Amino acid sequence: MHRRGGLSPRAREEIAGWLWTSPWLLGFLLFFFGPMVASLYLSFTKYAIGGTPQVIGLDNFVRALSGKDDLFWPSMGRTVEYAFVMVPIGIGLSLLAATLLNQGLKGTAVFRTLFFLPSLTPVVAAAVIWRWLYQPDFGAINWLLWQLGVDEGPRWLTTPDLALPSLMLIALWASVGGGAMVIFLAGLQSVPRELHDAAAIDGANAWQRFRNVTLPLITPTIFFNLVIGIIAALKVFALAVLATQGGPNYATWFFNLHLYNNAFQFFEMGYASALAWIFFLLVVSLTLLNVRWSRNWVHYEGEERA
Amino acid sequence: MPTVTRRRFVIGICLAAAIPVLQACRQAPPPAAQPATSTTPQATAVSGTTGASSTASAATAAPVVSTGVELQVATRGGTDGDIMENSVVTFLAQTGIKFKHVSYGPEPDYWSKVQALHATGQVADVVWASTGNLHNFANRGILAELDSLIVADKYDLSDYVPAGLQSMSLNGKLYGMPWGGHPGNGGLLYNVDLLNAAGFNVTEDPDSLQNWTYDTLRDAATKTTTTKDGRADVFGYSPGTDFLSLNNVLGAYGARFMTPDGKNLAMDTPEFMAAMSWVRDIFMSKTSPAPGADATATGNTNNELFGGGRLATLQTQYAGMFTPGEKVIQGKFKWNVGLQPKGPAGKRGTALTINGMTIAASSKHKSEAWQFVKWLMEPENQVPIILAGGSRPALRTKVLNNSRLMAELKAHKVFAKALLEAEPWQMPANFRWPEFNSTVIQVFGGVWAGTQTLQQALPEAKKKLQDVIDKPAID
Repeated sequence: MHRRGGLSPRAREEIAGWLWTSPWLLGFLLFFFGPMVASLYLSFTKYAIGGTPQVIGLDNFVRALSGKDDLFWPSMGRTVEYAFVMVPIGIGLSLLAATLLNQGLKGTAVFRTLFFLPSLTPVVAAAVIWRWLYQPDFGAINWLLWQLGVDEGPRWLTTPDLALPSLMLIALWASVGGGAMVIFLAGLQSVPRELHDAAAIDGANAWQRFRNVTLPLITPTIFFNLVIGIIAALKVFALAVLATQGGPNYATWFFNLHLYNNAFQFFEMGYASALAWIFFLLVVSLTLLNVRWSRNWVHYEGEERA
Repeated sequence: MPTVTRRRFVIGICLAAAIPVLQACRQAPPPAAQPATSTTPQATAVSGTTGASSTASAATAAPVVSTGVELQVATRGGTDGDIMENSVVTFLAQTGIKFKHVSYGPEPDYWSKVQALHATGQVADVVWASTGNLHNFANRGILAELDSLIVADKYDLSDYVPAGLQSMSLNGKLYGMPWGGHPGNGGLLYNVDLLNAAGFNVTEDPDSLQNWTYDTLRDAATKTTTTKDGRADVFGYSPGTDFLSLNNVLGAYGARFMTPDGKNLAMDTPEFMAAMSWVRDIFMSKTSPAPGADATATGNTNNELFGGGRLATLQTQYAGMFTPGEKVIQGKFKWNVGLQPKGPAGKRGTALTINGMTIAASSKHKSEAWQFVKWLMEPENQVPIILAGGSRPALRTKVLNNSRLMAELKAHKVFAKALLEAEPWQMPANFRWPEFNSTVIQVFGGVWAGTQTLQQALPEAKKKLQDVIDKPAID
């Protein structure tokens, strides 16, 4: 074999490969992995930016998990509640929208665009628009209710019981026609037509074909959207900052808002790092559970099971 | 040549990455002013020192030497940034000292950036810092004390408002010059036409509100609130629900959130209940738009409502004379900014809220930085900035009593008086002002929304607020 400079072609190829990927690798190590390691260290310290980290062992984790921080568990619970409601409804509506768009009806392209538009709206703009829509005295929603005979519409974002559902509605508006719907649409379009035809010949009606042919075949897509949807829902932050600032009376004080405020408003970076790692472990645990659970209901094409 | 395995390559990259990461994480706070040991903001014993008269431009009069380097001044951007962009050019022309303006972005991220850059020794030489975080940063050695610079320069402080200097001080040391002040959220934007139509005899002269009380304001709110086709059309008044806004009402009633030393709550008083009930009544009587997410009265949609002539009065700051301002109102109605009324305590509630100009402890050019700060405080440099709508007046009598400001800014005379009479800034002794403010906004949210009475909210509110006060100082 011809060698040049003592390196085999395979070694040269390998080095070249590493060099080509090194910009990404360096970026990942410097801007993701490095800060993650640093935040892990900081989570065991008392640290305000600019100060000297003082190692305090597990105190930050104890403070959070023991309830000494009386906003930790409520914010965690609220975030899980948000995800628990948002994920099934979001996936269900996205699937419904995708199914409707997959019927090949006239104007499908127009509707697909219309459905997708809200997801392109920047969250800041969406929050401003919806704050006006929800404005109790001058907003369009209460005006519509007034037209229907409701003298005094709700104070959507400023009543503690209504603030969370109101935020969920904004999030659904922004997400149902977005990425999940497009992924579902791709999944639906990959279902072989002949399977539907065969089922129809066997006498299956539309619902039966959807239930027994389409759904099993798109379970990988559902699973993907489920995992991504759970992570996205747990990360809820920007909307709460912009529309309600966590209020009223902590009604929309989500976990990530709690984390952000501790880090950047209250300057407790050590404690915020601990919160970040607790959140990370929660997300990883839920994802692993999902992966494990998926073995029972996700069917991959060509998969063989014992 | 040894074979480069994947494992070796990854290890190498990890090691290479770890060096700068560790370097960045290494805490090497630059030589700092000695952090204060006590945690209570106190009055500084600042009085007129001998030396340069403040009537002349101290910056131009003082002997300065061009450093040959470009210094930095940091602001939160926006109008402060615009001001500074122009100021550095003029300052360079007058002194030969070159400053570059850098924007660290809007609050609250501004504060994190100051700290992060301090940690890496890269923070600007001159740093904009307002009451609240200024004391926190001073306590942690991020800011330099200015007394030694003032003494060395024989700078005359006799023209300065004592409470202004006190509000910029910690444990007797001055950490910032009071560049722009508000008497708390003590302003009242008012629509002359709406008030007159409701039978209140007011003019564009803010002195026409001079004798108003909180009863008058409530009466005005009620009478100017109107409906059209059964729907709200005009609202009478919109109060803020953040710490500073509420503090203004509390002060007028002779109440306060916390004791003067900032170590305990002072909410168990009839005056506190009366003041908070007054605000709640405004919301419950629907003479105010529903409280919004932004607790300052001028946030949310209220500025737009006032600018559109659909809100008769609005709690604001000194800056209220510029925002929404004539650019938005465009002569549609007569308006001005007065002061929130005096309350049952016979006074207005105030707490000096000041944008200070500070010098970073890490600055290697403190002397030049001081020249710039001093220059920014001079009346001839202040007045054009204020008139441009970008700033609030410095806490010095030559600015507050400036004849041009008096003539050209309709509301300046009442604010100048209020600023001269205002009480010093107050905050928790542990400097956790942002957390205290955030908690105030949250714990009374149900009260303003009408889902809780004040009595129902108070136990939890007091617990949470006391928890904030009881925390150790940030260090």
